[in-house]
Amino acid sequence: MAAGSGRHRPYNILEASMRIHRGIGLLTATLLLPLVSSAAADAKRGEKLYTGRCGACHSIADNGAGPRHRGLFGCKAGTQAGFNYSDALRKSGIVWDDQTLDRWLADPNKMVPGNSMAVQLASDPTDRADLIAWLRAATTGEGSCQRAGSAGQGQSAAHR
Amino acid sequence: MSDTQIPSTLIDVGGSRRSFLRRSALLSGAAVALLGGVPLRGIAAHNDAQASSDVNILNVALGLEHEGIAAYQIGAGSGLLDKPTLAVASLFLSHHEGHREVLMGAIKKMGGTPVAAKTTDEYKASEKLNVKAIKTAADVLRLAQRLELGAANAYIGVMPSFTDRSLSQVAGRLIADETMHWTALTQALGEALPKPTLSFGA
Repeated sequence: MAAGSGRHRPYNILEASMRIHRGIGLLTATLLLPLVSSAAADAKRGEKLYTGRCGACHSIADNGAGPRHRGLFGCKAGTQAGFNYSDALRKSGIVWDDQTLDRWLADPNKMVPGNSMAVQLASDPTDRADLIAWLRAATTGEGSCQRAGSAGQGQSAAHR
Repeated sequence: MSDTQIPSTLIDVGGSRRSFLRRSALLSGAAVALLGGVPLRGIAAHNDAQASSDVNILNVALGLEHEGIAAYQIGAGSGLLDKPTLAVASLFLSHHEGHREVLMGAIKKMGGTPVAAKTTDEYKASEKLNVKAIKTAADVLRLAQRLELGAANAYIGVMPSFTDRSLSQVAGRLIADETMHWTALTQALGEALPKPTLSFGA
């Protein structure tokens, strides 16, 4: 309806139907995209990428130059016990999941300026999907971080 | 350990531990010269936050060099390597000791405090090094290969983040050493070199 025209435009059932279908299509595509991405992701390749690109600083079980990854999904960023995080990451409010990890791996400095992970090693979306698929499989188990929705267990006084 | 021997034609080094120590002492001088040749000209123009960021990156790199040195020392002391392979491992160890000096020198020059190495027992207990799983000479070389690849990729990944561009040049020279080590180790293990171009970094 044209605003201020003073005339009602006839209701076009065909146009409305097409709009609804387009909306459903878009919604379906949006909902299915993560499933398609994770289904297509290659966790085995992700393991190799993790070893070659992340393994210098990270491991699943131990803190090193970077924090351990055990229990990563659902962790509040900057709360893994025993690791000295930057203020920037500790105060970021990020909870690690597929989406936040994808943004982080693409460019940590862009996502959290001033954080300590000054490294860009997964600019390719396929690499990130494979890495995240591997992390999902490999980091299961009890972590020592603060979980989303909890109030601080695992938080070390040593954190900056 | 014939299956994992590094061909002497690939890297020509004299064999003895004594000559390794002599080379190591020479490398200390080379490390100082490296830093002297790259005088970190930009530091004076940088603010504290930028210098602090660079120091943090260098300290992460230093931590990796400490770890690499420990891994090579553990490997060299394992008794699993034959004489020619031990000589090459000792040479690579001396390179990493040289890297350590370069990084410590740069960190101090920038007013930072170099991160200390962990104890050998701590390195032996780490899941990342997984020393207890080492049973053969090939296991030693695979550990070294994995660490060299990780270090090369880490240096490549941080290069764009240095605020002092002269540090990127230092990083580039370190990457060249790590890549040389990785290539020699990969060939010693009888593994194929990567087919894709630009196979390091991302």
